[in-house]
Amino acid sequence: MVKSQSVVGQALTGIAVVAFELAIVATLVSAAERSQGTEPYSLRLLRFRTYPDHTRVVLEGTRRHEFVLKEDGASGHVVLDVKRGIASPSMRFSDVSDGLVATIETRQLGHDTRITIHGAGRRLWTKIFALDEPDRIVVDLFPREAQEALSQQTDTVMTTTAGRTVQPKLATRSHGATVASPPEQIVNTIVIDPGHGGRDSGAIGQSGAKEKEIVLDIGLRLRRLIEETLEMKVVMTRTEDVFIPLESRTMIANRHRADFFISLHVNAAPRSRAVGVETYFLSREPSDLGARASAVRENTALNLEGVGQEAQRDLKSVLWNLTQTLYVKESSELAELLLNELGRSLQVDNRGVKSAPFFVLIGAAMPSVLVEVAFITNPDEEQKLEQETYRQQIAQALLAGIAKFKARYEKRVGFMPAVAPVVR
Amino acid sequence: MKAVAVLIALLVVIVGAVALWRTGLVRSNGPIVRPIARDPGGTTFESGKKGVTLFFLARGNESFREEKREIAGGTTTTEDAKRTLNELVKGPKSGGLEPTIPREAQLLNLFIDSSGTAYVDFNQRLRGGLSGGAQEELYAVFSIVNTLTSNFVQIVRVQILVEGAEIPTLAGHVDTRTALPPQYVF
Repeated sequence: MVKSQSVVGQALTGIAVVAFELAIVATLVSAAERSQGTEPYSLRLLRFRTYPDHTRVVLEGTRRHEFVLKEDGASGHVVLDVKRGIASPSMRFSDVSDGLVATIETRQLGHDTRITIHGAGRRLWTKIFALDEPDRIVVDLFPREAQEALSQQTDTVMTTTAGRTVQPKLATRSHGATVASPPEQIVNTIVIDPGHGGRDSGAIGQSGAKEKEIVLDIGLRLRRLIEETLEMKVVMTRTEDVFIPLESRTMIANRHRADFFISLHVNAAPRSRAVGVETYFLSREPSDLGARASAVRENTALNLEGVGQEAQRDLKSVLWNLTQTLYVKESSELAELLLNELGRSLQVDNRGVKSAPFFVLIGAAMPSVLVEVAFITNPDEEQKLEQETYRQQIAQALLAGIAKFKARYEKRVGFMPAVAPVVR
Repeated sequence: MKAVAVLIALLVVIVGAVALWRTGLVRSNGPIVRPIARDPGGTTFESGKKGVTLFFLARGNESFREEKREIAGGTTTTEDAKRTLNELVKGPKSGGLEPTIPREAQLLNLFIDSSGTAYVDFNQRLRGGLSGGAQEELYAVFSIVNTLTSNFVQIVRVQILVEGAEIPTLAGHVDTRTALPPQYVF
């Protein structure tokens, strides 16, 4: 009896030990699952950028991924499967609408993530590669017909003396909007960006004048003047009261390979009686080394065969700095010319050329400036801004500044127009 | 004989170890004490208060002007940085200065990472209280950045967040997607 009790006791003890061990295993498995749950996404970000001849889509991961290109774009779509990739919900849908790419969709297919890039009705040609630190998959999308045409062409790339490379405009993405520029036309295209718009009114004056309406009117007047006087192509980022995201405005300029970019704004300082005009150019360069290295990797397409990796990195860094310096110098010159013309013509306070990290100027592959034509918060200036003649005067002054910049730039790169444009 | 050999071997080992330690090839496992840089704006008074410098807008000539103020010294840099920013939000006490941050804005959180980036998280009223002009936005952004970077050597750049999220701009102009270094003139 005692023996049988002892056997039962041992059996119960055994069961208890097994149960305890199972509980520990279950706890450990659960903890492991929870710890996986703290790092749920292996693909954390999808971003895109429009370049003059292609669109770049970048998938940022928290680790390296294998990927398979299921469709290469010949059908107008690109399908990419990222093996064992778990996409962040923020990557689900992106509206690109840049003329080459319409949208990008992300779906989870079991253990893999499927990225579908829908073209905007044209056949695409795809280049795909991986980068690390951080881990990225980069998809470059080109119009297929342009790629085919380019492959049959001889090298027709021209380099201006100022160092800017002018490529043949075959690869423009707009439908049927290929621009056949005469080769001697160096300063050909300007982008005018009336700030704000749509749901974003910008600054509002005391009597209700809205920045978005004033700058649109000035922009449209300026377009007319430039087309009539300087015979340049003018691209407007908006011609009506619509909201355009800031990044799209620079994209538009890059897509059209504009020679320079002018963003029009009206200033506001509600706590002071500030008056006058001021112009800004971009002061910020990619600040830390990592960001700069990343930008170099993604923004340059240099093939430096036979050069060591370390030397390549240094050379690209130098080239990047040179490019930035070049645009800073040109942008500052454009800002100064516009400011002087505004100050002289409007007889208002010239508040100087300033520099600041303005979003709309970042990423513009050309000289770019932001102009503040008046203070809407100053009742006198608000009243003047509401007058049509004053807005026309502002547009005239801007035109004079643009004409001077164009003439200087063309002289510098060796092009002399037969007859210099008379603006004033 | 054997004992002598052991003794010599022991001596060689000890002398070798001392030599390596003196040349710096071997270090002790003790904690590394970094020299702490002097905090320029962080003079701590006997009362436990700490002197800080705030950046406001000079009335009339539209430039930054500093105002000295005392805060109750906290136990950590993060705590001091929070108190300093709260003083900035309260606005200037000196005449001739204008506030740069909407009074209704509220600092929700602040933390500093090991790379020297301070993340400052405000409520939506930081954006809602601005009129939409570029100048006002520039001074709002850089009064925060300049105040933190000039008072705390541990902070070299500032990332502004609103309700915990990165924002492209406060009012449509200044890029706040990344952490900003100070800028005192534009």
